[in-house]
Amino acid sequence: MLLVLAGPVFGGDTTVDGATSKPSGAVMKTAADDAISLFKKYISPIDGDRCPMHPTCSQYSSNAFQKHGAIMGWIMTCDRLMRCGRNELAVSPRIFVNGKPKCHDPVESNDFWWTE
Amino acid sequence: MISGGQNRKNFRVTFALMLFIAAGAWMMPAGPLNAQPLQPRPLQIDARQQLALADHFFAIEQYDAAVTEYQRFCFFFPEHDRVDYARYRIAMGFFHQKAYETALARFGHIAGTDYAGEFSIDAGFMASRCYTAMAMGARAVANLKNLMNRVDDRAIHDRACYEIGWIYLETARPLTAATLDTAQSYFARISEKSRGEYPVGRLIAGLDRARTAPDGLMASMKRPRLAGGLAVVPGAGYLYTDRYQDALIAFLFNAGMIIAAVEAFDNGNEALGCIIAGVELGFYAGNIYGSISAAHKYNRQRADAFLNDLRPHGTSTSPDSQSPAIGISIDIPF
Repeated sequence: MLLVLAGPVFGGDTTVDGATSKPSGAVMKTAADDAISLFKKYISPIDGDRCPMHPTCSQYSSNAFQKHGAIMGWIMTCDRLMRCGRNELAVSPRIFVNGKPKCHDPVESNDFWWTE
Repeated sequence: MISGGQNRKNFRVTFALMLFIAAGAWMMPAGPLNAQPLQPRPLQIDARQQLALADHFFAIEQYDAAVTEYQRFCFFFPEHDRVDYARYRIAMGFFHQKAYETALARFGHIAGTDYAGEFSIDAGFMASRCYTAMAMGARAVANLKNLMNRVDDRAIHDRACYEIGWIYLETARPLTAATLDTAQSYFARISEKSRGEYPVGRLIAGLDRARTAPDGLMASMKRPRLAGGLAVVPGAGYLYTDRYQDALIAFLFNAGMIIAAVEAFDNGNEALGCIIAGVELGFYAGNIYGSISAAHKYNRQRADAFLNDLRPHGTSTSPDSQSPAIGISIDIPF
């Protein structure tokens, strides 16, 4: 969570200066991408591969931001973090990823009701 | 430095060598000295063999190879009386490869406008299956209705009604009482004569029960708007959709974050309070979004389970295969 907020600070190519600045949604999306990249690069290797879902929560978040922009991406990320590893395991189909059973819960399984 | 005389000498030597090699190559026999000259045995494949090969590939589900062999058959034996069959199987091959647009074009060509050929009726039905596979349920139904209008055959009408009923059930999402009613009306149109061929009584009873019974499918469906409304109290929406663990986490997490934000503001830490409140806003909205999504997922799961139960076991609604089959399901808890 703090990483997402810190994204604009540490994000390398995020510039918000006058005429050349990106739209606020795009800035937030880039910030989120930077934050997720930071998480994947520095925290996840130490924290370990513990997410029982596929795609992992960080990848899911990245996909959600890419597909639906900053606001819906953020909301879907929060939703996924609350659902990760609990009732969803009994609801979603199971697949094997690198020999490990995972719960298949892509973005498409959670936005079908308003995108289809 | 090479002089002109030296150059001419080198050229003569090179030319003589090339001449020698060319003469040797011309005089050399093509194979070993004691080998008999090869007599190529012409391989003759008749139409029956070619078709058998194509059918073999089709039977072992190598549809790409099957399509190639059927096309070879059509090319070499264009006057053969099984060419229509081969063309139909080519279209089926594309269908099984999930190349639905190509298959649709082929089936449309076979069906023609008057459904007069040997395989044109089946092709018409398969064209509808292509539309269904491409999530174009309305086109699939329209195609079958067109077929019913053009072909005056009670058995074909019954088959079309059966297919249309299933198209409604398989393509309509979310599954509503109106959809069940429409599907049921098409199943009910199947004539008494064909009712032995299709499980009409079972289908109608199942759909009727799903629509009206207190413990039927419609009664058990969750209302997404209600789930979203209940989620104003964090976790209540998940609770409504039978997700008890998610409900507990949503309630504790959101309550904790709200208390933390209030405490931060009360203690004069406005900056911290704003950060916590901002993060909490996302999780609160996520709780509402997740509750609505959970209701939709619940309904979809229930609808899929219902259709699986309703579908005749061991048979396919596809006209391509109507033979019974046995399946094994393995469930691995983790």
